[in-house]
Amino acid sequence: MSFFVKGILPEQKKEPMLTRSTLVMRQEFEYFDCDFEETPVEDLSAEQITEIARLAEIVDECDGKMLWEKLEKLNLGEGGTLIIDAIDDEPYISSQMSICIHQPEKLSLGIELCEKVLSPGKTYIAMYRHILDSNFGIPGKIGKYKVRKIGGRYPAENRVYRHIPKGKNSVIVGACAMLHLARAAEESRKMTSCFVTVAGDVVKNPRNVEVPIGTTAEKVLELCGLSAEPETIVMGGSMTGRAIFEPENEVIVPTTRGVIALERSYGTYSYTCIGCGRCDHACPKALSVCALRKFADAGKFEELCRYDVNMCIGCGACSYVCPSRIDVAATLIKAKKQIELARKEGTL
Amino acid sequence: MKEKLMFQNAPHVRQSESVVTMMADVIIALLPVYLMSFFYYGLRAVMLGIFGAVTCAVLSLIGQLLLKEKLNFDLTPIITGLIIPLLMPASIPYYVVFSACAVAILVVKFPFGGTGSNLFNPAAVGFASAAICWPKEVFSYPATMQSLEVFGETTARIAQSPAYSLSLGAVPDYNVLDMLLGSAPGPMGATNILVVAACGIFLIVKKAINWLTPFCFLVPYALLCVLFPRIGGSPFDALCYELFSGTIIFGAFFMLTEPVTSPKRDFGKMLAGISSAVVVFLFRYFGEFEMGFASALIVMNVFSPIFDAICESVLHIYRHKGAILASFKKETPAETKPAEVPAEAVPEEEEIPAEETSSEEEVPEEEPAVEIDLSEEAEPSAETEEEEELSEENEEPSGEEETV
Amino acid sequence: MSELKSCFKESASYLFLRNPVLVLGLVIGQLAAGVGTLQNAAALSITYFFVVVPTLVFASLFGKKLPGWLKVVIYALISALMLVPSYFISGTISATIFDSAGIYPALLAVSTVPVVYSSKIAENQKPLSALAGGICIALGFAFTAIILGAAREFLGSGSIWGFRFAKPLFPAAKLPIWGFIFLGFMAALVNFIKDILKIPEETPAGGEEAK
Repeated sequence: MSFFVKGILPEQKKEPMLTRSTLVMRQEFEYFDCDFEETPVEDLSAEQITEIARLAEIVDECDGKMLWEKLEKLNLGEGGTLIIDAIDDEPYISSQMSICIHQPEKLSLGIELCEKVLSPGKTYIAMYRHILDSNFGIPGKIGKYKVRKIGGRYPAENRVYRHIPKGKNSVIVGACAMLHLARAAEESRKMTSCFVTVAGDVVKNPRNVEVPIGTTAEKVLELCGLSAEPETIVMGGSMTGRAIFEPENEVIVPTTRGVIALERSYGTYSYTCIGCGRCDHACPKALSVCALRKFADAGKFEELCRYDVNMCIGCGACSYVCPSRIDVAATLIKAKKQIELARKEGTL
Repeated sequence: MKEKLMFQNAPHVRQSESVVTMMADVIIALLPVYLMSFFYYGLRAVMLGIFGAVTCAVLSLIGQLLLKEKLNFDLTPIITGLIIPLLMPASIPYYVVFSACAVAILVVKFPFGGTGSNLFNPAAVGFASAAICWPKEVFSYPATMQSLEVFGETTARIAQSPAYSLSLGAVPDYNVLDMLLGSAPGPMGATNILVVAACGIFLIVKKAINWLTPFCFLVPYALLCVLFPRIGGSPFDALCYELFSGTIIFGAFFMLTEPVTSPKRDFGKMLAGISSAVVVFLFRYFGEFEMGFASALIVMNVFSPIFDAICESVLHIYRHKGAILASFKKETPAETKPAEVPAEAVPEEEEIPAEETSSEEEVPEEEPAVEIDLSEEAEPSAETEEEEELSEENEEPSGEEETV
Repeated sequence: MSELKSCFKESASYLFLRNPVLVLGLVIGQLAAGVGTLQNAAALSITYFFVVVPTLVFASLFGKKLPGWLKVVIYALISALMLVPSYFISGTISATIFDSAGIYPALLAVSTVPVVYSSKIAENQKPLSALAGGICIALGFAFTAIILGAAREFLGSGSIWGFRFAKPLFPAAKLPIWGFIFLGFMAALVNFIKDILKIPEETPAGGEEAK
């Protein structure tokens, strides 16, 4: 009875990246100066922590915003929730999870500092639980912080909000940002590196790698080695990332979560839609994807709006399940953009 | 490394299943049925299947040429060509199969746009038109366990099929075991109930078809047969004879589940299954021909877009339930207390109509979220998944900035 | 003189390029369901001729003098009256052909061309061009009907004009549904030929006169 079933259960393929320790690419660290450098970490005040985050130029990897802006604006207070995002529900990607598993002390220090600023009533780390293709067990606690295991099907990142008490405030920060905050407080180190997963079926030595920001994708792949020539190289997640053509020019930015090299591409493989309706069942937002795709192909914008295309979150679950290998998600995202443009111009 | 790189859109991992594997599963599931009909009727049954498949494949290539499409060797016409002979007796002349295949491909499939666009089930329409043209050939069934001539006219003994006896109101003179094993005369593929059912279960396990469609068709149909028996005797006998005669089981697994012409969502599939059960029953109860299933299927194909539309409208309400609930909550206090509105509530009241007029389609951003929180404090018992989804939808856009 | 020429040219397009049935999509139901044999087709063509031509000529002669609310009634009345001569003339084909055609001749009498086309277009035309237009519309109808009738009769019962000379190839062609399907294929064929000849899409009949 899958009238309301949402999302998909792809093979997670997180092994062996998850169990192996993080590889650190050789780099030069940068340090910042401040007047409370000598203060022990425990005695830092909230303003000082915010200042550290600002000086260290820490970027939150889950939305690309500066961490200090988040810390400055927010004061959660009693009843508020601080959620550490280590969900990683996309196949291959495991950079945030591996931090939680391999560097728990640093992470809990970072969370402690963050708690001091935000003073939330509750703090937990969110991780994706349904890694069905490996027998890796997610720990129940990291440091002194509880791990909330997010179950269910693929687009799980939205579902984190489900555990928040109703009507209360919450904030989500990335696990890597917490690690960088801890380093900045302890060693006055600037955030010059970020964590990416290097994986794919042609990568010889799939690992989670800490690479300097600005490294090219080619160098990262060279570090881990390629066993064959890939047809596709993906920057970002395997479900939502983009295929790149010039690996020597594409650089890694703080929000990059992975570099994935795949042997085969699906670009040329497509049949006509046979109307099986699997995309409808996969959609986490319960959209009528099959009908939407037809309207998008025909350019019927009014129908698209009536069928709620603006609710599409671009998770790519529909494209994943399509047996005809149609780029449903790409079609819908394009149509959504066109509609937004038309709305702005006032033609719709 | 750079030379081989190809462009592809966002999800870079895909399911290993494809149209080809789905269709190949169906073909594999049809092979045992052919094996059984080979056992009962000899080589002619297999030759009919090969003839049908080749005819359909060639005709679909012609159709693709006429449509000026890129040639695409998908397996759907082969399935159509394999199903059509199975609905007919083994003594059927080859020209009847040819005409049925021609109608299926050239009239039903390609004028509407080829694979994936046909309005009706090609096999059902092909069979129905053949049955109207040559009722004598299509509905005279040879007795089982005799080897028929491979080509040309057959000189087989003709036997009365259980479906025909039932339509006359008589009890068929075969016991239930005969009908399960397929030794009763009838359409050459549809009599081997056990084999057909096993193949259907294979398809369900391989996820080539959805289990809901055959389930929601067979159960109401069985219920109707028990409630309104056409023959005397115990209800169990009536049920067995009705279910196992004709093409009910075969059609439920192989024809009703055709993805193109059936509704997309599970709820729509349930609706379609139940209503086709009713229509098939009516066709068989009041109709004179034995082709009740095919006719009913053609009728029900017309309704599947309507079932889809019903699902969509239900889901539309489900998606917008936050906004709908909020609008209810806002209307009621405005009516009950017109005069003594608290001072701080006044600006809120003014904002609401403005927001409603400006963005009807938009996801409610800030104001409805507050309203929903109130509503959930009022009724805390209903903590279902949908309720939680609702809060997620509303909190998502505002996420971090909410506290200010 | 060039005016006359253009008027005839426009009328002649009703024969094929603007065939009333296959391109403009008029009287599809009556044609598909009513024409099962060649004789049937001939009878319906005669009926259509008698229904259309006098009505259009009458409309172009007196249409502007009639009050608006009465026009449609009078046109329908004239076309219905014209069923009487068509009954006798088609009776020469076969005595029962008109009766066996059932309701379809009567439906032709109140179809689009005699009732609506006459009041919208033929009224503004000269009698001669109305006559030419009417004849060409009727001939276009006859062209379609005869092909359809012959095809369905040959496939359905293996005979042409009642003379049986072959085994029926496809008995289901006798059913009305196959009339619709054949008509669809014929319309597709016309489009295909138009594609090959590279004839641009023309505005529908009402479009030009409205200017």
